[in-house]
Amino acid sequence: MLNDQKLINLIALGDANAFKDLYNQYADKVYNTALSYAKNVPDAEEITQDVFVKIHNNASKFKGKSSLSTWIYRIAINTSLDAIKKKKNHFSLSTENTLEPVDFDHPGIALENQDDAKILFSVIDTLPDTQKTAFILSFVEELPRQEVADIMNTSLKSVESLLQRAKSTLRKKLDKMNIDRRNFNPKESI
Amino acid sequence: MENERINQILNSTKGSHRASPAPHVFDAIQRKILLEPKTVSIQHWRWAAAAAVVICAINAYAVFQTQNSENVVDTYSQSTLITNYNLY
Repeated sequence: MLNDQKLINLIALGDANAFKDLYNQYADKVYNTALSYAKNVPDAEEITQDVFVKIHNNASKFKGKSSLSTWIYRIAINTSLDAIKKKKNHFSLSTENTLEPVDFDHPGIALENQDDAKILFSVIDTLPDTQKTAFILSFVEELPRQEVADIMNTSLKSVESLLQRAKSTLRKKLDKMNIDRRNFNPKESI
Repeated sequence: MENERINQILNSTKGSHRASPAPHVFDAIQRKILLEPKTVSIQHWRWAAAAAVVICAINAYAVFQTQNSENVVDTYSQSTLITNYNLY
């Protein structure tokens, strides 16, 4: 298998096979990150498409200062956050209603955890962007803390602090929700 | 909510596997790449301008050389004519 720099150089030169190889290596990571932000399959697919188009068009700009994986995660996160902002703006312009509360089954989560994950995602959505990103990368994507710090272009210490704040906020919000496992309906709880 | 229950919810994504995008996603990416208007960076414009200058310089040099060599041929043909019409 080609190393990351060679692979991206070939993509910059227009090599379709190299692009397909890169897609096969990173599609799942990008798609799952997008799913965690968008919380629905069509939007996550749209974000995944945009991320890979950006990778294709900007391959010549990758200078290897970070790992390819870090670079791709950054593109995926920024594209996801932009997509959410656009959607929120669209909703606030077109109607007076706010976004629909989250009622989302993440396809990668074990069946027995689906209900709990649904509650968790509905609360993650209320976190500030940096806390949300630190939480998603650490606890949904399960990336090592150092990689999370590299992706977020920050120190290990600030990632730990973001995670602490995120967990504390989530705990408070979950505590307020007073959810019973059997009759949870996220649309009623927010 | 009980602490234990909150922990249960916070840990609900643990050990999840990665979902794969549907096969049509890659086809859509390829279509978007083909339809995307090609933007040319300033760097590329600079290289194109430099290449154009080099090509012009080569052409100018070639024209100059051709004119010089035509002069040589002319001198040669005149001298042969003169020699041919020499009276012996």
